Amino acid sequence: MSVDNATYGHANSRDYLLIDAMPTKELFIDMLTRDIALIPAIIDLVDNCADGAKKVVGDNSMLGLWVRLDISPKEFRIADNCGGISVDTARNYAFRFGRPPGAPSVKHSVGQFGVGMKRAIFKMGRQFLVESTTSDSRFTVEVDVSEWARLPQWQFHFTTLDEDEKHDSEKLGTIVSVTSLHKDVADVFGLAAFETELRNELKETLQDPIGRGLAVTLNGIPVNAEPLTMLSNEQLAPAFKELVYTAPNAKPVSVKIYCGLGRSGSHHEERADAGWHIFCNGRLILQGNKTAVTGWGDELDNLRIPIFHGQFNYLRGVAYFDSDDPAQLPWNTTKTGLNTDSPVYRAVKLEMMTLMRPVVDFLNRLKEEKEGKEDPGIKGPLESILEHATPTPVASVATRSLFTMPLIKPIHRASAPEVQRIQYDAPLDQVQAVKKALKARSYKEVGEKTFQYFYNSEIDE
Amino acid sequence: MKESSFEKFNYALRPAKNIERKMLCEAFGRLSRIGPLSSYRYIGFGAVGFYDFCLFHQRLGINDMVSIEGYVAAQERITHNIPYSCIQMKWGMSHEVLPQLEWTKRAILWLDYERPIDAQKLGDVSIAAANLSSGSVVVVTVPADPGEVEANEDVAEKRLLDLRSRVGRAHIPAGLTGKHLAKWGTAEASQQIIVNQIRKTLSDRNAPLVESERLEFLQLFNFHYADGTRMLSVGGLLLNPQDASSLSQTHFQDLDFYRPEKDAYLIESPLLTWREIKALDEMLPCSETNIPELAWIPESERKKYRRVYRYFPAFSEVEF
Repeated sequence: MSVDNATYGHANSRDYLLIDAMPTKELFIDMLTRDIALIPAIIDLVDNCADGAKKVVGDNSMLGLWVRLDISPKEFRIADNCGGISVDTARNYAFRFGRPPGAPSVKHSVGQFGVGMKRAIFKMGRQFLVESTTSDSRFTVEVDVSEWARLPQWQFHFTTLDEDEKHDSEKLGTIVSVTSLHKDVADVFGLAAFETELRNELKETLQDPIGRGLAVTLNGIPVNAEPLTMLSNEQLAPAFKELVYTAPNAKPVSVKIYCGLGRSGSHHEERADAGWHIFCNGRLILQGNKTAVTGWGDELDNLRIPIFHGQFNYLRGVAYFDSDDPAQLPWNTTKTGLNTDSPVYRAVKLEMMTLMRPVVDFLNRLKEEKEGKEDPGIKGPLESILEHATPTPVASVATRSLFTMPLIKPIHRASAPEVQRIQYDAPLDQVQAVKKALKARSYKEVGEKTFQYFYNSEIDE
Repeated sequence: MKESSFEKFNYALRPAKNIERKMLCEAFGRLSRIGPLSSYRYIGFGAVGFYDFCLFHQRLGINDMVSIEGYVAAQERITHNIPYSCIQMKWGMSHEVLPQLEWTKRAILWLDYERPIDAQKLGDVSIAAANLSSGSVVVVTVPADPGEVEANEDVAEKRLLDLRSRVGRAHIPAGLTGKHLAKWGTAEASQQIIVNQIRKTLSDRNAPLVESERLEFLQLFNFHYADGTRMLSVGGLLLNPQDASSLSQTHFQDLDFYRPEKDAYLIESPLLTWREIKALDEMLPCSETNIPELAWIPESERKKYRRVYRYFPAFSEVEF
């Protein structure tokens, strides 16, 4: 190692004895992140949210709080409504590398070392944005990591800062977004297998807060213990549609709709699971709905979709609505039910109806098949396809843009022509007279012979 | 379905239908202000004759054509009758096929039904309005006959009950009574029901959209005609503000048959001989008040002919 001679020449102060041990930013950016795998790094961020949730509710229920993770090859994003980071915390602790003595702690909190957020961010990409709102402050910090690494100062700057305004409880929370993802990270974020792995890991680590009511979603789909399942194979895969609605000056609402078939343990469960399930930010607000609210027919209007019947017990529809701004979501003010007048919901309902129609058609055909078969012991082609399909959790089910009828050979019924039963009343004495004249042995024969007589003499050519 | 109407009538020989088809074609030609017709897709029910497909391919240069056909039993015969290779068949009922189509392209969709309006057809209308892109056209044709005339007080009530059972109570226009359904009344009610369904669907579709993305329905057609039974064809354009601005206020107004409201255009086909047609043609065009003075032809037929002569079919017997 060479030593810069000039340093010796000018050094006549006590600095002369000092050895520079100042850490380089690159150490933090590159080395620190090597000590942790991607999933634990992400879990660190989620732990921060769970800590926030604990801070908000103490030992009470976390119902109403949510954490939403979205990963794609372009962006990592985690958003919550768990109280937000105050400007003071941000200024003094949250962005420090390491937890300074005297930092406020959250009861039962998981984040101990104060490196989690930065390490996770650096692990994933080269640009990040932290946006947070508390009841009396709001800030954003936007950083290009490469640029920041070139500066000698160990500081970040607030991009926007507002310490005077009051914010209502709807708006509180934190968003961390990482972009310019490292190539290896972007690659795994595109893998369905990674998403499954992360989902399982989240389920494990977040058992407690989820059990207490925290709604956690990954790519729009809740990370809960008992996921909704749908039948999946090549022929029965559910339809899937993803939509984003952006109103002017508002946070976007993203919507994921699945519609297909499902099979539940018992007939009773089947009935409960059938219909539409609607989630807002991971919270189930409508379960197994079978009414006009989700597009099913009712007495007044059974246009595109019939009124729910037993034959539709296999239908499963799920719509996940997500937004950073809960006010944009189609729930009512108490967040317990659906607001059917919501502009987004009105448009999505049309899409739901389009997606469910082919499933309804399939189930009608299935019913026809069951009723039409001669030997009740033998399963029809649709019934067999249905039985051989496996229930798969919605999050990992293979989908297609539209549910279509499985291609099966049409069943050719015996070549007898279609028949129509006719039934009518006539005065008894007249009927008996006709019976006698026809030498018929039963009234059925009277009917058949009189019909044949009329047909032969007036219609047949 | 046991039988399709093409087995009962020869569509080429239904003069009012023939005239309607050509009138629609002329109006469709004007869509070029929005985008070249060759960029449109035509979706229709071609049956076995594909008359609409031939006309729109020949006159408008539309090369992307989809024929929806529910009469699967006649598949082989119909397949042999496909007149151009650009026609793609989609087998199944319209309510099964429509949700499966791609709607990214501008389209002309003609739902040319053989049976009166009912719930399932309104469902199709709704799928169309929910999916068609700006600059697209939807036309709905339905038989709209009030049914047999009976000298009976109940007939009006029966007609209303019949319509209600077909479309559902929620879709009966406010204030409609059975008496309204006589003569062309069933067609008028059907027009309202169809347009209401289009507007209602668009309102839901538009709800979360910004102004510049919202679609409006501009009705262009409201035809009444009867080649036997009374028929209604109602249709129009779906337009966002940008496409609307590329059309002037008067873009369709000079078309005699342009009908943006409830009043209908009655297509009446005159009964004329070849000699009469030739004699009249020599004196046309003319204004409404200046009907050719050929007293040997009934005035009623001369008047009818003046209105439709540009679209009038020329039927003659030809040996190939």
